[in-house]
Amino acid sequence: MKNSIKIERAVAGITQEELAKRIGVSRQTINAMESGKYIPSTVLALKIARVFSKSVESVFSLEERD
Amino acid sequence: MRSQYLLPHRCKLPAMLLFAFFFVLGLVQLSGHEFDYPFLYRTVINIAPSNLFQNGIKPDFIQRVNIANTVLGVGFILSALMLGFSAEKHEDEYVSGLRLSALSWALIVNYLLLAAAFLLLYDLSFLSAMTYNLFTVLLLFLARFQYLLYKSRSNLPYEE
Repeated sequence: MKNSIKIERAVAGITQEELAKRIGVSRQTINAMESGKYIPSTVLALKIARVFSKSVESVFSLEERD
Repeated sequence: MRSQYLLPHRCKLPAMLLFAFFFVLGLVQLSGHEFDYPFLYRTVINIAPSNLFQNGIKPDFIQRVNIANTVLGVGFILSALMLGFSAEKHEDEYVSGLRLSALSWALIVNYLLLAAAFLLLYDLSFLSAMTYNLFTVLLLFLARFQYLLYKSRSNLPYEE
């Protein structure tokens, strides 16, 4: 699964730290998701999409191998 | 999402101190030094004494023994569990994932080591490896978990 958190964050002008605080996780978690090392739970994906006022599908999408 | 079976983060520091204490004394004990002091001899209940099934003999359910092993073993296990299962400062689902992954890694490595001990050690050497093996699963888990946490922190890019 890939995601556009990094891009959405740049568009919204918020740092990893700020996003982390808003959804109640650590900065490591944001970093791990942005670098594709961690796939968040559905709850977390919904929270992230809500911060950017987008649907989950526009932030997260399946890849060929999924 | 809430992680389950975790103690609060404030337990971490006392857990570390207790763990270090029992780890060092446990190593001293396992390396052959005996803690042999009068105050360590206590009356205990043995629920399965060695003469339990001998005919005509009353089993020794009550015994007087050196409890150094008991204190060190229980202390090590409880402090190691407390250390591994205290919440991190920023506990979230990613950290729970790291903890679970460290647990499964430790279980696999521990039993591979035990299988190697079965193949390569016999008699008393095997027995002493078994004694160490009682504690290695916890040690491997703690070491792997700390390593994964360290790795996830050290990968963080600089952010202004």
